[in-house]
Amino acid sequence: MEEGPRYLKDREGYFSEEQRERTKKRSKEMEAQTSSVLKKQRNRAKAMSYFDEVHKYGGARYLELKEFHEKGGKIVGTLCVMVPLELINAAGAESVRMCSGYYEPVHPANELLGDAGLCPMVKSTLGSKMVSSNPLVDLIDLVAGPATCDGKMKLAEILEDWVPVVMMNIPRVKVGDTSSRLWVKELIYLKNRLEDLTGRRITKSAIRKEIRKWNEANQYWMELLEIRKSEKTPISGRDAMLVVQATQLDRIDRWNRKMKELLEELRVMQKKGVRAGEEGASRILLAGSPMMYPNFKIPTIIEESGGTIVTDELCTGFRLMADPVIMDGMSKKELYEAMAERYFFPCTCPCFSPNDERLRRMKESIRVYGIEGVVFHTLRGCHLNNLEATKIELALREMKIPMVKIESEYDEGDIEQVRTRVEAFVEMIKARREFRLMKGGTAP
Amino acid sequence: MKENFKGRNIRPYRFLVQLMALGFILGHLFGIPPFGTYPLFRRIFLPNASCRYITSAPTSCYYYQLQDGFTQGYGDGYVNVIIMVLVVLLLIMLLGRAWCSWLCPFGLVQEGFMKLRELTGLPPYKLKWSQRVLLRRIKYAILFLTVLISIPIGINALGLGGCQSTLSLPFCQVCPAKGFFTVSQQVLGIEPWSTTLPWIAIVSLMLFTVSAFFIDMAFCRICPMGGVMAIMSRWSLLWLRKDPSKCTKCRICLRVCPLDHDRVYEDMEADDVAGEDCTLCGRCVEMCPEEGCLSFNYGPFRLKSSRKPRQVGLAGMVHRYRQKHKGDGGK
Amino acid sequence: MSGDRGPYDLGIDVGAISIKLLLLRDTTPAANKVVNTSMEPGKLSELSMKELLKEEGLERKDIGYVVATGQGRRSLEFADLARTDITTFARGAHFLDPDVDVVVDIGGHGIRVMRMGEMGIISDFRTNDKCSIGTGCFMDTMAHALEVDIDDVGERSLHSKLAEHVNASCTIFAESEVVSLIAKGKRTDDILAGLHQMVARRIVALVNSTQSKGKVMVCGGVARNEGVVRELGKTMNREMVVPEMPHMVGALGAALMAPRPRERKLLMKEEERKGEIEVKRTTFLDRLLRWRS
Repeated sequence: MEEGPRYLKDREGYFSEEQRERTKKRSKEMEAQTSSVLKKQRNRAKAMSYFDEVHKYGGARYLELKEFHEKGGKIVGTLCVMVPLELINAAGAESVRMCSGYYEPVHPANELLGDAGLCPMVKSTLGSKMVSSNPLVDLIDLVAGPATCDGKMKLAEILEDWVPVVMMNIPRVKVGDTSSRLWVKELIYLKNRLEDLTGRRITKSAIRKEIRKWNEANQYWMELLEIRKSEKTPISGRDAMLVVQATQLDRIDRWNRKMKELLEELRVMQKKGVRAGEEGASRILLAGSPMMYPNFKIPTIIEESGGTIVTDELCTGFRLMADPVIMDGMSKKELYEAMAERYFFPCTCPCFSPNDERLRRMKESIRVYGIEGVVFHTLRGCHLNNLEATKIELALREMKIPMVKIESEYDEGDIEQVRTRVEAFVEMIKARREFRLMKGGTAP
Repeated sequence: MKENFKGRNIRPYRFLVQLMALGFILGHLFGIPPFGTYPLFRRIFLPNASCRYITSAPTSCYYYQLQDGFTQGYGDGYVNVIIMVLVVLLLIMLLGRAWCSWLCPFGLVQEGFMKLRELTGLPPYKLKWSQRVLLRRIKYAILFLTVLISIPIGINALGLGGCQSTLSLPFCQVCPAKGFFTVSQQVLGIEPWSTTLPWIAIVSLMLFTVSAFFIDMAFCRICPMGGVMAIMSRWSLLWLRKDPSKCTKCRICLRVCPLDHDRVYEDMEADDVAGEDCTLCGRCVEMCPEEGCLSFNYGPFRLKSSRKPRQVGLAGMVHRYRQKHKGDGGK
Repeated sequence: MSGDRGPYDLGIDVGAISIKLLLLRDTTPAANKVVNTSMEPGKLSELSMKELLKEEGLERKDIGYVVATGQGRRSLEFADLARTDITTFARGAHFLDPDVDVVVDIGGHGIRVMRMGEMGIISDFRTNDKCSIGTGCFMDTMAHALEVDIDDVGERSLHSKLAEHVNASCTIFAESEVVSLIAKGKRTDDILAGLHQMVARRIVALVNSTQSKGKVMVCGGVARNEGVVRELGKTMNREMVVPEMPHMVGALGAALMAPRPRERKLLMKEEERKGEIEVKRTTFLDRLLRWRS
């Protein structure tokens, strides 16, 4: 990589010390506030406290990673769910998801980029790197950035000023068998870069070991989804999102252990009929743009307004642990194919065209989980999701499922408007349910 | 080391059944008296490669009977052929194309080659889409050619009687199955080394050996018996069912299919995705990670469905034991 | 339990610009009141409620349920229920005219369009809370820029012969365009007419986005403005009704949402015939129901 001028990094000096401190402080406060709101939920399982700790700003996980880094360990940042974490772990490195959910770093990014109608998550990630407001992000040695959506693609390029970035091509049109070959080749390229980084060869048996661990994680996540199907859901949607996003930050074998404890506790709660959420809460499916912790504005509003998120169609929710890697054959090529295709083919990200899988999965979830309404949240500037929303809404109208579209930003100013809309939506669903019951039908 | 997924295994059972089928054919090696010599048994023909050239095998493959029927049957109006077709139709209705992957000894041989390749760590050569389509068409071409050549040989008036001795069974001369079984029996000492094979059979055997090592189920793709079975398989009682609402399009079914049969992955509307080329080996049902998406059905009954993978069993337990006692002080 | 409760229901619509109160007895509105927001809404609502009770000669215990709606619905501690204005406007509109398909609420801070389903339950709704053109706040700002009293705005625009085309994307830019038009010497009435046209276009676009073709009811504070109503009537390609007191529809709907058995009675009667309810109404309600299009 040639050492050219680093335009953006040189602008770092433009931000005053006071601004940096303020961003850090506000990020910390935001995370603490979100965490305290989550802790105040009623009937929360005790095993959730571990997952709160994982996400804590500057908490124990950060200290652990810092120690690991100081001892020479390498930390790889990922920008998307499509990066195979098994491969990173097989190289002996730890992985950290860089997508930022903090609101405050958007301001430094706005100063640099102009107040463009960009994806606020991209702006926040960039901002947090520029003013070093997230200590975890500073430990990263290499970034793996797949070119999924335009925002992420350019973000990967911009981050090159600070950290070496492996940009990976994703074939965005999934037809024919040529499309997966490109992605497999990109993975092999990533493997070579990881080997250069850590100095360790990635062997087939190492990959297989990691795949087994992640398959176990997938199995536990599926069990959690089964628990959420019940009428009295013992875990709220926000907690489930918290739990699954912890896989991107934490060590997977420890996560597996803690998840097992959580599952046992939830099963006990389920048997007793304890529910998280109000009596008669409507069952909502949340879909749309990614929502990284602590950007839990929309799910919090939904769950405080009388709805329960029983399932979701988000890449920061269900999709993170959605499929297992099914290995077949002993050769290296087949192993990489198995790993690559697990992330690629069933993925319902709207960056793929055509994206029939997402609508099909939503319809199936609606039927299986007994969903009464869909909340579709898009971030400002998320064209891919905005363009899909109309098609999804019309398809859902045929199924007589109402959908509300909410566009939002990394901003706390529109909380009241969003709350009004969500409350109206929940009232609508409840009224329809009562009307159906009155007419002699059954609740869905 | 493969995953030990509970309740998802089909392959070991299939291997057992294949061994039993092979045992039936090679019974005399295990001390069972060679009942293949009894004239009654020698007339059994099956829609798989239970080759006549295996000494004292009780059966012959029906393709042998097809060629025989066409070259000898001109006199009685090919009545043998018609009877044979009806019998085969009945057999296919009962078991579909499972004759190929569950009961064919040559299929077992090819799977042996696949296993050999796996042990060397080489990847398989996956055919491109155009190549697959071509190979699928070739079997019909072979079938057509066989019939075309057999019929004139049988008609005495055409004066090709001289060819009768060498070309009475035109396909069997080049069939790699015959070549393979002959050579193996010579190696095992059952058949004398004096049995010679025509040069063309040796060429086809070598071609087969090389391609079976790299391409999965190389001969099954062009097997002309498969052509006949493909036409008849739409009436089979054993079929492969897909529930499209559960399909996540993960493409695992296509990746593990030894015959690269893409209808299972592509088709999102139909119930029956077996099609004419699927040999019902059950690999896709074994590996599909969605509960109840793919299943083997017999008539209206569901025999075996795909299940969600669960890491239990010895491998999983051992793995977890090792993790627990690794000495890492986690939280 | 409703036997212990008083016979009246109070609906309070705590809006951005004004607070509307409506007393309902069974299905008959008994009294109503409008108060401009001058101080903290919670205290103001309580004071207004006491004044209203005194005017009607009633006591606090006569009120069975208090249902709050509007932007400030959560700031009332004495309310029994809080419902969003989207739901209450739809309910109120349905009560006034069960044939209505689309309800438009042009409020102080936002415009809401509700598509009606069965029994006064909405099936879809849209809001434009990002742009304030057409809202009461917008009209206030324009009136202030033109130095006209807000109550005269509609009347004056009707006198215009040729409307001045105003084309702006946001309230502040519209205000600056209006100021420049004044500087060019254009007539106030013409400018007002142009503004009303722009507002009507916006509202009609929002209504059309629900993809329905049925009857529209226009309510909310701004619907008192005859200029807006006339422009809407010209631009909207369908049957349109405006109730006599459009700003009270929210409070009416809120009072109707009190959980009384009359809900069931009303809903059951819907099955047979619409309009029978009118027979039981008093003269006050006749005034409320006088349509104008």
